[in-house]
Amino acid sequence: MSVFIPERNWWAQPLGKDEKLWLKVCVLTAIILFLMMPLYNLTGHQNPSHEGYKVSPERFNQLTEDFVAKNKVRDEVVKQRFGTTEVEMKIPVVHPGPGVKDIYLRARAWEFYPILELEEGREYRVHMSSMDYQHGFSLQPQNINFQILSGYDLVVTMTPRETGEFYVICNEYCALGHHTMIGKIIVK
Amino acid sequence: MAETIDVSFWEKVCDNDFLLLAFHVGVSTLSYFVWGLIDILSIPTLG
Amino acid sequence: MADTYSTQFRTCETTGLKVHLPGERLFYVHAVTAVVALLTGGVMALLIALTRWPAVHLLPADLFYRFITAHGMNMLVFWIVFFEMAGLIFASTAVLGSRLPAVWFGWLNYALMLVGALLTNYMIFTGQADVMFTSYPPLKANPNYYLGIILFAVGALLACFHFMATLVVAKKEGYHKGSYPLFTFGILIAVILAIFTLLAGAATYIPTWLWAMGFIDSIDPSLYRLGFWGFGHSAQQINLAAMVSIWYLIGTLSVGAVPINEKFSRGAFLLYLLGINVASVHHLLVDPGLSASFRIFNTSYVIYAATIGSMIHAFSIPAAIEVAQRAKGYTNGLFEWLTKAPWSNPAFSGMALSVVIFGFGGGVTGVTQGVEQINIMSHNTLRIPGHFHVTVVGGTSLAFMALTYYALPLVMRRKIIGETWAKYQPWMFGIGISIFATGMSFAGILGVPRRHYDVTFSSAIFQVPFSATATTMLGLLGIGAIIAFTALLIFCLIAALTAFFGERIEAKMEPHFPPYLKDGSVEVAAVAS
Repeated sequence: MSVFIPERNWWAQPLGKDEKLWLKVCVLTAIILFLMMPLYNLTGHQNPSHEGYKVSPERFNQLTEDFVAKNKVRDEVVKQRFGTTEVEMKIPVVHPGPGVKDIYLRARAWEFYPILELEEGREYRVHMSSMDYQHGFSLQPQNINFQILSGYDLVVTMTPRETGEFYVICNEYCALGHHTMIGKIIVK
Repeated sequence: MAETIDVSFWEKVCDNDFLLLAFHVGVSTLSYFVWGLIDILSIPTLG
Repeated sequence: MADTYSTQFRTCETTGLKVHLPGERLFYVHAVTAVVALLTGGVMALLIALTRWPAVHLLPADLFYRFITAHGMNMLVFWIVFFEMAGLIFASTAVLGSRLPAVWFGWLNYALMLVGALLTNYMIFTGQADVMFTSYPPLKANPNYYLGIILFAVGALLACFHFMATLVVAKKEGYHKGSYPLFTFGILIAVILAIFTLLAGAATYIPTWLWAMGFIDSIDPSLYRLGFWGFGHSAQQINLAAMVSIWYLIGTLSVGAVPINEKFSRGAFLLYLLGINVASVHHLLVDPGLSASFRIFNTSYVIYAATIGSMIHAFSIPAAIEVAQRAKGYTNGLFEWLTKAPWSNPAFSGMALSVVIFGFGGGVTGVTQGVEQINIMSHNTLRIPGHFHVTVVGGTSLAFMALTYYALPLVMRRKIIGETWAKYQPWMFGIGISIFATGMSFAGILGVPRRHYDVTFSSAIFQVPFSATATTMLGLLGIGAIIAFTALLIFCLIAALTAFFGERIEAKMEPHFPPYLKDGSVEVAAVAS
């Protein structure tokens, strides 16, 4: 019984044939599932980033502003609601020029900066970092998600495979404006 | 009543509470914390 | 020389176990406190769910985020751990027929946990800790929030040591000889997991508290996440081990099931010790800079060793029930043993539902989301809480509720008030949670974020065109929550009314106990003195 003491030398009781068969099934399942992990890591087309760097928020902000200054093509005008008032804001749209592979996305409560305009089929190294709280990078509707930390630069190598307008929402709680935090990526 | 049966090694292991505790805390600390700490602390600084 | 108070025992008429009376009193207060935490967390749950249901959108934003913190703390930590402490006392004293080494120490630990829980709750409800259960720096709460958690954790850790000491006393003073019964062995495994958990918690919360007090400049967010999840997910593995042990116990109490092979089941628990707590790395799969080998080795539960353990239990528990039922004569066809099982016994039905919901829903969603590639799609979406509501709620909490239906008549020795309601309560809860988690999981698969006040982005600069299906799934989440909350309320009422007003009865139960043994004899754990 599970409330009663087993007889001494219970380890000597052999496994029945059903138990042995089930154990074989379990071990086989475990081995197959496990092998799929490094296999997909090595041969699969989509893996999380293993590339990251330590970077101060000030340095990352500088890199982002330099990137925007060099590659900005226009401003997008957006309307932000604060209670009952509506405020107009301008967000730079940045189209990385030819040969520019390192692009920067800055997360800050409660905005993603800048708006990225990318080209289909071109490979980019997207650098992401936060100026303050932890944020989430959640590309919709693709549903691709990463964790953005302050003090760290997460580098994801990405190639857009379809054109259109995509949104980046924050899915890591970052205080009261969390649900207003959203950015945009345009692919041409 | 003295224990005259030969108790198998694994049965003795299961009866040893503190051995089990040391094993689990040891393995988990090494594989999760120590390895993780090494991984995080060896993240390079952006050049 | 132990005084007479600390060596008082009574003998249970149903099981023959010798119950240490001061230990029983401690069991009682922990269980009652657990149910209070459950009710608090449950009310929060309903309010949050009715806010995520877009058609209702009940709360304002600040209360929404606040109540998620309250819900997480009260459910994941206070309800579960207070109940587990009651289980620890039972497994070490009653099952082994032992006394508690130091009754005053048991009360000290309870007091620490209670003060910690009250302080933490006060900080949350007064708006000084809007940081979520995860409290990720640089989000900062009032230092007393962290202090409350530390006090609670210290009390719990000391209670774990008290459990280990009880085992030592039980053997040394002759209350118990030989290997522990499987239930106690399983709880020992849970306690070992808990000790690792609480040490990780101390390593995480103490520096964070010092930072909140201003003694430390900053907390590295990546190191915090490593430390926090060493505490946070390991805490859930304690629940798993406790839940599995309870499944075995209820199998014994309800149909007289015997473990089919002690080596099989105990070996499975040993696999937990090897590989279960390292998998916390699955929270860090999409973090910056961590290596593939660190992630793969750990999130695989060490080459799925711990998963093999769970699969062994998933086989052994129904097998034991089938063997016991067939011995009673239910041998007609393939499944009479199952159809003629005591489904109207809420402890049995709760246990069976918990096995199915956890096994098929919880374990599977966990193992799949814990691989690198799928995690890219699931991280921080509603799919994550979809998973953990199936495991912690449909699995562990339902199993704890099921056990309560035995604790009330056998330990508290009160006749259950609302027996008809009790019959249906596990079904209602199980179905409610299943509907809830289905809605939540599919919303997450469609990209809906977790911990998010407004997926219509009505006060944002852009709007995401989430599909109508996602909105429907959120509605399903709301409906499931209403059903589950109602069942939770019924459970709390039954437990409270019975515990305080139930007719006092002798601890005698139906003849499926004493349990089945091949030679017809019954061997009792307590040493006859």
